[in-house]
Amino acid sequence: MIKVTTSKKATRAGNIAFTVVLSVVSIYLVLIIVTLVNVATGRYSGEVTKNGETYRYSEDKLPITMAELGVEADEDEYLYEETTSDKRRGLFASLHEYGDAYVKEDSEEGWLAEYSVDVFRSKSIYFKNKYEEKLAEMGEDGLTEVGGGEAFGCRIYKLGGNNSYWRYLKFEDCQVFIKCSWELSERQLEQLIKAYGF
Amino acid sequence: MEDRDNKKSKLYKEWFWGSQYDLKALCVHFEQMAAKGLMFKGVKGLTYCYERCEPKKVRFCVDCFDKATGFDTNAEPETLEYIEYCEKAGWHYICTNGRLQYFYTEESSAVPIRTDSGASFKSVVRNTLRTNAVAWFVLPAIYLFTISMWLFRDNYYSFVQMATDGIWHSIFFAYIFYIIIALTGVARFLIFYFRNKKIAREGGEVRYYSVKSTKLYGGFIKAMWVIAFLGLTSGIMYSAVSVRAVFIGVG
Amino acid sequence: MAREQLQTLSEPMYYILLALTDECCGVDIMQKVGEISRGRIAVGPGTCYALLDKFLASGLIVQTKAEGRRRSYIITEAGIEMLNREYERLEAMLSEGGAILNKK
Repeated sequence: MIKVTTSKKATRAGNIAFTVVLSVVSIYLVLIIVTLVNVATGRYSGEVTKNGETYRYSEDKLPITMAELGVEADEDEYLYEETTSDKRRGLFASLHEYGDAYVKEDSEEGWLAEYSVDVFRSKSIYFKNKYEEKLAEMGEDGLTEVGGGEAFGCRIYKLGGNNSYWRYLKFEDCQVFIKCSWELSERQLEQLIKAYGF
Repeated sequence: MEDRDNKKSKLYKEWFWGSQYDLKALCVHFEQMAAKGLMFKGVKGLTYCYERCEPKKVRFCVDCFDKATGFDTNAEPETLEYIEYCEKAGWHYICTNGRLQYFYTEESSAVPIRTDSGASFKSVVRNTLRTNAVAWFVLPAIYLFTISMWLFRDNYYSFVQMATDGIWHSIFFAYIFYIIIALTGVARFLIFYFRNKKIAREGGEVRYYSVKSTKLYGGFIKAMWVIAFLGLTSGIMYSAVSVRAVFIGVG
Repeated sequence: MAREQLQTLSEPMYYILLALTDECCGVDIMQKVGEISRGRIAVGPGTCYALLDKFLASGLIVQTKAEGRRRSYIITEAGIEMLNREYERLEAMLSEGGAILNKK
């Protein structure tokens, strides 16, 4: 309980009301601060205005963009290109997420072309196996080996069902999940592996 | 200025220790301090305050008064009436801390404030459960529920978030430590309760924990809090470093 | 719960009710109990306060006046009945015990 401890006029009823009000206000304050911190630390370096609307997007550096992979889109067709790079590190594993997308309109259906790369690293065999298991669950038919070997330095799997464009690359020291809106060619895979240096 | 300096040198503070049912240990401790020349003056925040004085032999009593509450800054009318009863019996009022009222007497023949150990024991048990209901039961339940929601997640994205979110790991670590602290608190109280339930019902003298055992327990709890805090802050800093590296374009 | 607890009276309860057969201020009850029992029974102030509260709630005593924080009480009919019941119980115990113990 929170109470006024010094005033001679402080009463029990007053302290109860004070506790309730301060508790409610504190919760709101925390929510406001968290929101403000999220907004302040959101990394938006790009801005485009079209039809009176302003769109803010991130322009993080990527090892390789879609244009470098040979995927072009007419600039008139899209609002902006968004590149993202996020890293998270925990006790059990770390994840580095990269992404590149041509955005046609600012909604979930408005992505013309995109690719994203999740690089998952963990020293724990349990987490490595679990990661593969969860990926396999995403494809209806699990994982199917489609290539790889010494040339690539990894084993390459494709996910089943509707996600057949998605790839899972199993390296010795990391696991890579590539989400793609087109079927990656062998050459594009080679370029990705070389650029990201898995 | 001189008065303030004099006042400062007269005061001595020590960190709070002891739970709502460690009343006997508190009394014995205050008596030992008074014999050393430090007279208990009151509770301020999380500390016991003492004033330097000539060593003296006094008896202390910490009583649980049911009609007081933790919201009372100043004694309410019922508490003032009860204090008057105690003063009439030769006990001098020192301060209030929630339901606990602190008294001392220099008369060796003063009748103890509670002469009915059964009713006194019930009062102490009730006060302990009321004061710790949220800390011992509600918060651990919320934390356990949050941990289970976080651990048992089904899909890829939830799993990856669970495995790689350093901030959540440190919060999880702090939650676990808090639950351990709460469990030890409950266990210690239950030992006290079951050990004395029959004794109190038959009118015998309730066996409280000793000063030494109470201080050891207090030290253990403080150590757990320090570890939980260090774990929480270092975990957050550990995960924040990698995020910051991305922010400044190192990647 | 209060009714269950007051089926029989403990010694402090008995003497407090005895003390309140005459109007008495709450804070003076402890001294009066000591006088009635010739120093044998000592009721602590915390216990006395709690018992007075219990008796008030059970209707065994009633507040007669209040001068600031000093409240005075007196026993009610229900309280006298309770006292008499307890007295008879103690008398019965005394005579039944005496009958057996005096033979020995």
